[in-house]
Amino acid sequence: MSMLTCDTAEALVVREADGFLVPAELAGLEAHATGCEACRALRAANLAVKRAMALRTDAMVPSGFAPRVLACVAPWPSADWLEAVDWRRWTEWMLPVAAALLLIVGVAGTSGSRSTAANGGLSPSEPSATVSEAWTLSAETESSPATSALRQDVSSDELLATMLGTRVADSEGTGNGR
Amino acid sequence: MDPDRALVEEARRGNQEAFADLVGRYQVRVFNLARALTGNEADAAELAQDVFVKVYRGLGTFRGESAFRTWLYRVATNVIRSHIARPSVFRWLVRRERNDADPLETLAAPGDIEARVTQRDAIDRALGQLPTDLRMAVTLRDVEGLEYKEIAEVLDIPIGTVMSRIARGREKLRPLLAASLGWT
Repeated sequence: MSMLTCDTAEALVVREADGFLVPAELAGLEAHATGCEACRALRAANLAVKRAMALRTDAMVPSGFAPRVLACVAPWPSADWLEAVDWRRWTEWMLPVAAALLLIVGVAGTSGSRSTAANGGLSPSEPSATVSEAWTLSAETESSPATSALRQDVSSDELLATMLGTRVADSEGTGNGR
Repeated sequence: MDPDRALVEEARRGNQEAFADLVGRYQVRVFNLARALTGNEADAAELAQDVFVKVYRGLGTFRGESAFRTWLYRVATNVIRSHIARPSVFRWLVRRERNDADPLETLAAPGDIEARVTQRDAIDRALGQLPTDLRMAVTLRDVEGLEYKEIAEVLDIPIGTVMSRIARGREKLRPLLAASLGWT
């Protein structure tokens, strides 16, 4: 019958895996583990994990780490602050903020369109349509080539060219008449 | 006698070079602690930087009752614990992406250095699945090599609790490592 309790054995299991047990302690632990399945499993796991963890090699510190730290604690801005700024860190922090702003703009845009539509049934393209209608209305009282072009629903560039052409033609006609 | 005492005193008086020496002395340890506890290189660099900045700003409050190294580890574990408790959406996405990779595929990569890197990734990934308290204790012992008494001081827990957390942490870690390292 073992004299060790499981609580005592637990500490010995850890120290055994770390290589700190003296022979007398080891003998006591082995005696206890022989009759205690839970402590036997605990012991096997500790030994196996300790061996596996020894395979872990240190990761290399990223280049420029120390200058970045020192720039953060410098009493005044460092001359080479641009090199010290960790842009990745800022972009990581700003990503959720940017996403939230986009969401807000999107929601505001949608509700803005809805309220405009509710106020007069106008969409963003409608003001220009209204201007076109105004041109068309005034054109109905005239009979120049420009007003004809308006009725034919030509583009604004074509309309401008037509208007200018008319004026040139008019002035030329006037000149010729003189 | 604390081997860092002279540098700490100088740094406390505002000597930047002394603080730079302390950073140089402990940057590998703090970075690896953060790397092992978060399983993420980018987070580890950010956290390690935060740790040193906090240490610098807290030098005035350090009374030398414990070794500087112990105090440094205490600051580091607090900073990292806060980070683990509040992962951002972005970090969560990154972590999900990393976990999607098959560890056994990466273990098959040739080359000694590459094999070590993949082994480290696999170990850190397994550590990352432990409850935070157990992860802290196992990492401080098996990655950082701290003594039990020092771990108790760093984590501010009795030494018996340290032993228990290490034992239970290793027990829980075994199947996780087996899966991560491809043990049969």
